[in-house]
Amino acid sequence: MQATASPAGDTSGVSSGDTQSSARNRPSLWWSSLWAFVGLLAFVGIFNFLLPDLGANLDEAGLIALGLLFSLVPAVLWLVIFYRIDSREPEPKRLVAGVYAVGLLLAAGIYLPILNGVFAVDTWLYQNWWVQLVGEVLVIGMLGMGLVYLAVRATVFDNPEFDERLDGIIYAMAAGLGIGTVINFMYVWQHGGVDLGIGSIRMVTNALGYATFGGVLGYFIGQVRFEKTPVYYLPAGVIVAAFLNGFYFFALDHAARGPFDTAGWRDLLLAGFLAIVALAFVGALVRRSNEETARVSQLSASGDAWVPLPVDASATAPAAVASGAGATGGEDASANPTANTEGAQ
Amino acid sequence: MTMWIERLAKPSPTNEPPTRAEWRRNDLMVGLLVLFALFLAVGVRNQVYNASKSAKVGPSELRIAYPEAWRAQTVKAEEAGNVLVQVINPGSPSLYDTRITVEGRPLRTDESLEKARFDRSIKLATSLPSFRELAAEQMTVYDGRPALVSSYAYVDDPTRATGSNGLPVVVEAQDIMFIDGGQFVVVTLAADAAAWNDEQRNFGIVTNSLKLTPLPEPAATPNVAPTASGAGPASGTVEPAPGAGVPASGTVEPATPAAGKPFSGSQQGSTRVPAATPAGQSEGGD
Repeated sequence: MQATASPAGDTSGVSSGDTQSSARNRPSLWWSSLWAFVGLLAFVGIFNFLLPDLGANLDEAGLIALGLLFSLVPAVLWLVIFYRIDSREPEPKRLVAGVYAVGLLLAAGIYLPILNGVFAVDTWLYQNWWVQLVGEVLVIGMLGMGLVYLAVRATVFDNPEFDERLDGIIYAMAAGLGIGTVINFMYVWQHGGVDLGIGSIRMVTNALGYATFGGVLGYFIGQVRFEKTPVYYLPAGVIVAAFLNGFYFFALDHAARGPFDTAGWRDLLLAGFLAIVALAFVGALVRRSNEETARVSQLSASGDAWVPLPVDASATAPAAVASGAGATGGEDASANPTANTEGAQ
Repeated sequence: MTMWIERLAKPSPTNEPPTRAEWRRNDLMVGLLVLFALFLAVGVRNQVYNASKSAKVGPSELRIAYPEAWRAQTVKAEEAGNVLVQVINPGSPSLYDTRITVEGRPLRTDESLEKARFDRSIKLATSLPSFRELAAEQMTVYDGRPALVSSYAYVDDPTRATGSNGLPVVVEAQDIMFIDGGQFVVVTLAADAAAWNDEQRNFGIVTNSLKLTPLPEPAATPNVAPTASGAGPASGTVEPAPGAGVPASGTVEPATPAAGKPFSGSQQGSTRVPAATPAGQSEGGD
């Protein structure tokens, strides 16, 4: 997405009409969330009702292979559905897949070794409820969201394709799904295969959790990408996402009665409810942010006509803005990483 | 609430784009935040690891701590014998539950610590299947009082009583023996040999509360007689059961964090001190 030369008299650097349309709300976010939930229920329903005995005829190697394949299905399903959220300006599939793959690598190379090797969470995390809640927020949540940020920051943050706030949500969800996929892989591996009925539910809830709260962090990433923010803003976003992530898994653990009864469906319904609430919250924030963007897109930092900053903006930005410099738009967004080119055509 | 939502939706008072320096600042802040969170998590983990309860045993009401998650086990009267306190780890991965047992009996006339230890070794050798003593060492407990630490192994069948067909288990155990107020006290740490190393952290809570400390200078091997290994019952040598007057079991106190250094004794199974020394002088021997 590149900024084009602004028309004469329009020093905003962007077309207000495009900004207005691009800042339009994404009603598909709601429908995508609903369809995602329905789709995953169908995934679980197939292996609980239609093919409940599929795993019975498989040996351990077959169960492992099938389980490994199943750990990918929810992640891919979520990825496809969330990708469709950005229907107006869809991101390049290679970039989304790349962020997903980076999430996979970070989870396998950093997340799991720290969880199981350094912290050995299985030996202390489940001693009592408060230890579990605090531990899941501090270790699982913070580390997971830190890696989601790292995956997005290191891959697409500087990319010209990252040109609107919603992209932060898309890419962060992809990174979160990568982490969730590795968690599901390890679950299958450590259990020597999987009971397809129970395992399908667990995989869905894991993928859902990591994707959803990666999306929450992605909102904050999208904001800091295009706006000057207070020093506490992004850390606060990490804290919010990490707390939601930790509380999500804590709630699932304590809501479940056991792995061998119908509580699995309760887990799925609870996970879906929490995800819909979180996505609705993110959707509301995106909507408000887009409205604000549309309103101020014509304004400069001082409230006058917006003037795009030159490439070396860190030292000269105040002077450029104060002088109402005659610099016009048309700067390539890829050359000017600090330009607010959201919605620009 | 509305104010916070506004701040989340519009964090910047202007539409001014950020600079690369601000991006780097954000990176640094996120990194520091994650590291700080992990640092806090280490503290929580250590708090859980060190959480303990305690029991008071013996005439002096010596405090012995054990992991908070472990459960004090009620011993049947006919099986109690000299047992004062017994706690087990309900989360043991093995069929044999890791346990800590505190036993005590009055010292006999002119009986020393070494003699009491010798008698106990004979008793264990004759009562435990495939008993084998691995090592012995002199140490100190509490306020520097002498102690003998003996490591041994034997075979146990934990499922036998229930009638199940589980496999027998090789048990590794360690006796920490000392004298308290005329009573011979034995603190036994026992676990499945395969889980022995994994339980060292939990056992450290016990040994830290005992203030178990190796002797500061190279200790002379205690003058102890060789003990039987896997021998059958030795008639006439089994120590008769103590008579009445064995102190009642100790009291249990609320959980408190354990203090002191982790146990670093030599009884890890990797070093072997001969149980019998042909020519050695034992400090404080009888």
